[in-house]
Amino acid sequence: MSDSHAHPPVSLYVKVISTLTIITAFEIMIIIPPVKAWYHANLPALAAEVVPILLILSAVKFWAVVYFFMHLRQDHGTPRMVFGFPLALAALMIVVLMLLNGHFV
Amino acid sequence: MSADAHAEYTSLGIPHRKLGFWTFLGSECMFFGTLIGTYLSYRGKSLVGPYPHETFSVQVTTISTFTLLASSFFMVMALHYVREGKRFAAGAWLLATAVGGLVFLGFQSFEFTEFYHKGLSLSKNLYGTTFFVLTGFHGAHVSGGVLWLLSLFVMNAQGKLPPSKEMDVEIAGLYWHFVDIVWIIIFTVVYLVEFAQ
Repeated sequence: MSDSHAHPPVSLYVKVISTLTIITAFEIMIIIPPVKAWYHANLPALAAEVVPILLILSAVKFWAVVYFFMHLRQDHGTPRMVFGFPLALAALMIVVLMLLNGHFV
Repeated sequence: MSADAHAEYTSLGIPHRKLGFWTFLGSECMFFGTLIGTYLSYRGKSLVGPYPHETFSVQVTTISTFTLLASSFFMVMALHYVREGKRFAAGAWLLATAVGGLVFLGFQSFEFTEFYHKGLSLSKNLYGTTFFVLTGFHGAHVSGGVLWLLSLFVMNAQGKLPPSKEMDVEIAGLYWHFVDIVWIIIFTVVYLVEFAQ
């Protein structure tokens, strides 16, 4: 039974929330007007990729919460299927709509 | 591991209640996927203002985002202490999680009021309709989660949440983390991208 797994230590949760906090702080930092103005002036190649970078960071945060806080890394098999399939469908729908409407690409 | 989970026969490798809840969360993915998709489909197509860049406040949303993120951590700590049978610590973390949700809702109410004063309403334009429906449904989910957490806090205070009932807390935790991951997507797609472009 999947519930027979050893429960994760508190230190793992602390590492995960620290990582999530750092990623979120970075996301906010890159949209602050002075920072934004700086990389638009000095790093135009990066400026063009900010939105994809934000979307990727968001996906990483999403995965970290599901995998560690929701313990999906321990709940193999059926839970991954019943959650993962609709999630993949929803993600596909959002990506298709973004492409169709010309957002973020 | 709970006594209930030991007693329950399952050929799927997971307690039925937990599997049922994962299935429910799968349906919620489709629900919020539809709302986010609708927001994106109508993004930038409002014919009259106010527009997103005239209404959003990154400071307010940043604080509420950090609060919700922190509450996810509080939730795993609550589950950890319920499993260890430490009633006081479990109660404190459960209460902290609920308070985190309440703070988030407070900021959302403030934001909605500010937007309304700036002329944005549910029927003002496409942005107003899709924004309020998306974030409003998310807020309703947070409200439900807060009530759930407070009921667990009361149960814990009454001594009705021993380690054998860990599944009750784990399922509430699944719901709470789901509310958090939906916000992670909304925060990026609705707010951050608006400021980044």
